[in-house]
Amino acid sequence: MTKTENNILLISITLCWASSYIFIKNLPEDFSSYAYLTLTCGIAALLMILVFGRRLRKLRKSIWIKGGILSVILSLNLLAEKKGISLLAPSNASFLAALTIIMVPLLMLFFREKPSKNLMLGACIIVLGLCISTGFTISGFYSTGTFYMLASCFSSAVYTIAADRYVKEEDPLLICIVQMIFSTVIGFFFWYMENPKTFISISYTRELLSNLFILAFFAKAYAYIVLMISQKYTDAVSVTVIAATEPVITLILSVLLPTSYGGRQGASPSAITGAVVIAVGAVVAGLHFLERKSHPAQKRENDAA
Amino acid sequence: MQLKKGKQFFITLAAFLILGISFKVMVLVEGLTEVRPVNAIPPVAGLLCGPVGAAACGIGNLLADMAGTFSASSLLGVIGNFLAAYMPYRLWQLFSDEEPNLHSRKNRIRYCLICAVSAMTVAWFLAFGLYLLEGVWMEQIYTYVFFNNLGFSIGLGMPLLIILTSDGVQIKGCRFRGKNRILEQLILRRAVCAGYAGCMLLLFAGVAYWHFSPKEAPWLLSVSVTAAASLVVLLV
Repeated sequence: MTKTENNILLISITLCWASSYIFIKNLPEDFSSYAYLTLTCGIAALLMILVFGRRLRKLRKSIWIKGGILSVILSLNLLAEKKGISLLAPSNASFLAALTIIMVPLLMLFFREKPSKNLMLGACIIVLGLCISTGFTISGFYSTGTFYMLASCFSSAVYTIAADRYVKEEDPLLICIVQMIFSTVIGFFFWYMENPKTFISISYTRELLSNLFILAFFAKAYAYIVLMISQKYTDAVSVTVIAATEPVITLILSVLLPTSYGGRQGASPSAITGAVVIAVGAVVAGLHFLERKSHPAQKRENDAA
Repeated sequence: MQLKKGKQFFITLAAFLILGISFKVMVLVEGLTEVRPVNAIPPVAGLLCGPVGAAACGIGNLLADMAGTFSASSLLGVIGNFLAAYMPYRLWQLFSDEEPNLHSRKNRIRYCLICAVSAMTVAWFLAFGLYLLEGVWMEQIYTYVFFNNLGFSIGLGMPLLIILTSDGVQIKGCRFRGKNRILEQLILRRAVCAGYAGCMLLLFAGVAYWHFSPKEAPWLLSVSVTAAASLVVLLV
């Protein structure tokens, strides 16, 4: 897979995740987030098994373990994020959530993997863009919510790095299927603890089912398969950089979508400025001009690549 | 990996049904069309499964219509969705000896152009088909169908094709086994395709830019007849 193909894939995931808010917004207000996790991951796992069922014969113990670890990290991320969002102002919560872009390179340094200078500069510019677009102010951070959001951010960074390693060792599709199965089980466990009636407690309307299927198909099945496959051909920081362009995609969607689905609402100047800065950061991260200046040998390598 | 024809058909049909029915709630024109990410499937199904994929898209659309917008015009939808899948398959085979893939910039541009021509074809077929069958002219239908097809076949169809042809999944594209006697020569192929694309662009400008209806501008129908003749030459 070429780098351009890989970038197209990563942008499409960001598109899926950015547009999923429309469908999440359409879910009933009292809809449990554990029910959401169980149902969307469950449907996604079923779809994957139906399409790639033949591959399940290649399942090994190591894939079960790695897929299980990934689903536990992802569930921790979701639970911490849920708690953090409930305790913080939305702008502070979204700013802290976006700090993954800094956390990933830092964690990589811990594993003695040095990200390129361009990636680091791009990440810093993206953080600046996120500050602008989220209306960030240095207040309201002294709360337990900050701890939960940082924990969510940390687990998200660990997930990206762990997935990056695992998919290079095992079949990405199988890891993805196992991860979805475990996420369904974990989601169901918490759902059962919250409300033992689980499935029978929901009133199934056509709209609810439509939204669940859409989210399962795009935000789970499609997005995670594509994420796993594309991570095989790229590094963790590049994945995080492209994922951080979500505000840019959200801005584009808000212009394109009909009003009834959350579009045409007009973007604020800070959202537009933030999106432009983020886009510049993503471009800077994708180029190699800083490496070229400092390492002529690497320049030759980049040119050859 | 080359899936069996039956499996190709049922996987395409299932994907079309799940997406088609799910998005029936996002209505754009009551009883006729909605936001349709399902339009990402036809070009990919056409390129990878050929006529089998195209048939699954047509039938899938009919079955999905039964969940909400079924009417006499659903027949147009069957042909429209069949065309949306069959055209990319035939156009790719006419201009490339490679199996469908998006590894090179040339192939990506080719894919986008094919999707643009297919989107214009489906929009023209449905809008003018409705006008001829029911005497109803709706410019909205043309523009919504066009942007639904173009946007989703590039925005979602392109990554889908990349994934399905990647080393991890390795689904092989469908090869055209027949022989196109009329368009055997490259120059003739190019001439017919250029003529057809020209007709489509003229219709697009007439409907979406100048906002003409066939009643006000009968030349739209003349161009449509020429386009239909070129389409037959391209596809048969």
